[in-house]
Amino acid sequence: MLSIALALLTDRTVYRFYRIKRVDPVIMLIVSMGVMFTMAGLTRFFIGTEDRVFADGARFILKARDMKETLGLSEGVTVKTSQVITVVMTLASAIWLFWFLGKTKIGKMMRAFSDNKDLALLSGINPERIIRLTWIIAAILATIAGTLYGLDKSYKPFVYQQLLLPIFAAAIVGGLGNPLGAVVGGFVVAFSEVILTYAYTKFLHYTLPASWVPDGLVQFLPTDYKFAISFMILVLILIFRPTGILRGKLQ
Amino acid sequence: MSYLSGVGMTGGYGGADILHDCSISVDKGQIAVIVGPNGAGKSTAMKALFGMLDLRKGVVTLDGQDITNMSPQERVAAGMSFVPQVNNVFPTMTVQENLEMGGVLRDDDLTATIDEIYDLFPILKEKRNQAAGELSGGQRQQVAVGRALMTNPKLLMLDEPTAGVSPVVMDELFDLIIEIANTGVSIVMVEQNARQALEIADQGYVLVQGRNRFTDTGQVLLDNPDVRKSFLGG
Repeated sequence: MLSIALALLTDRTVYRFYRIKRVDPVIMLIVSMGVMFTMAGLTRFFIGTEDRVFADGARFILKARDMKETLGLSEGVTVKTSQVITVVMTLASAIWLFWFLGKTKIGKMMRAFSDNKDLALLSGINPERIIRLTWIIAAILATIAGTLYGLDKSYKPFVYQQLLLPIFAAAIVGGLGNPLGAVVGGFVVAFSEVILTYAYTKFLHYTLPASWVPDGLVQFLPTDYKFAISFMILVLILIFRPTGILRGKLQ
Repeated sequence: MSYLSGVGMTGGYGGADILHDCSISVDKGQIAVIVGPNGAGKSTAMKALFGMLDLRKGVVTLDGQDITNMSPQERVAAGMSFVPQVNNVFPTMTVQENLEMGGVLRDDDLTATIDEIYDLFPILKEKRNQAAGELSGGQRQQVAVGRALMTNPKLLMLDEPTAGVSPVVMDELFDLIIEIANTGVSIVMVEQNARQALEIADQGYVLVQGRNRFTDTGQVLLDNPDVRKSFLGG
C-alpha cells in the first residue's frame, strides 16, 4: 500500500512534468536515476542500512539429512520454505500479469497505449488513468519481489545496487517493453551467472574416474565476477541483437 | 446547414499560421475531398477540424453544435473518428484487439460491430489473430479504418488512406469508402491521388498555402481547366 502511494506520488510530482513536455526517453532515464538516488537517500534515512533477517516459521520443508535417508542419496537435497513460496508467488504473479495484459479490457488498453500513444488518445483512452494503474501494478510487483528476496536471503536496504545490473540486462536481453521477453531474459542471465561461476569439483567427482578429478574448484570464473557476466551479456546482446531475443521496442 | 463545417479556420502549430481563413464542410452521407500541392495545409486542415490544432479564428460545428473548444477525445465521443496518415494501428496487437481498442469508449457489447466490420473487410476476419504490424500496407489501412469505425461514428476523417498502397488496393479502398458513405457516414478525406479522389467526391476542396483556392463538386473541379492544369497534370 505504502509503495503504491509512493509510486503514485513520484509520478505526480516528477514524471508527469516530463511527460507533459514529451521529453526524450534518454532524459526520462536520467530522471529515473535521480529518483533512484532520492529513494536511496530516503531509505537510508528512515530504515537504516543494516541487514535484517526475517526468520520465523520453519525454514526448511525438506531437510538435508531427512532427504538423504529417504532417497538413499549420498548428498543432501534441501528445499527451503522461502524457495517454495518464491516459486509459487512468482508463477502466480506472472500468470496473473499475462492474463491481465492479454484478456482484460484495461490490460489491452495498457498495451495499446504502449504500442501507439497518439492513436490510443484518438481512440479515447484516458492516458492518466492508464499510467496511474501501471504504477500501481509496478509497485505491487516490486513489493512482492522485494519481500520474496528478503525472505529467501536477508533484507538489505541497499541490495538493489547489486541487483539493478542483472535486472537491466535481463530486460534488454529479452527485449524492452515485452513482458515475456523479461521472463526469458531473466532465465538467460540467471543461468549464465550460475553456469559460469559454479564450482564443478563435486560434479566432476561423480562423473569422472577418481584419478582424473582435479584439485581446484573448477570454476570458469570466480563468483566475484558474477556482475561482470551481466555486463558481458548486455554488451553481446547490444552488439548482435539490439532488440533483444524476443523483439522489443528499442530502435 | 452542413453536418460538419469549419468556417474561417486560421491557425498553426504555434509560430506562423498555416491555415488562412480556410473553410471546409460536409453533408450527411457525403464525401468531401481535400486536395492540393505538398505543404498546402491539407493535413493541417484535418487536424483543425478534429481539434488537434489551436485555432486563432474560426468556428467548427458538428450537427449545428459548436465544437471549436472540444478536445479530440470529446469529439470522438460526439461521433467523429479520425484515421491518421501514419502509425494508425497498434502494431503488436492482433487485428481483433485493434478493433476492440477502437471501441473502448463504448460500454455495450462490441461483437455486433466487429462482425459488421469483418463483413466490410473480409480479409481482416481471416487475419483476426495476427499482429497488425505484420500485415501488408493495404490490410493495415483496412485495420485502421475498421478501428475508426468501431465507435459507430457519424463522421469519418481519413488522412491519405491510400498513401503507400498499390493501385489495385487503392481502387478497393476507394470502393470501400463509397460503401461506408452509403451507410450514412459523412467522410472527409485528404488525398494525394487527386484525380481518383475527386471522381468519388461529392464536394472537393483545392487548398493552396492554407487557403481555399477552388471549391466545388468533384466533377466540376475535374472539368475545370485551371484545376486540371495546376493540380491534375493536364
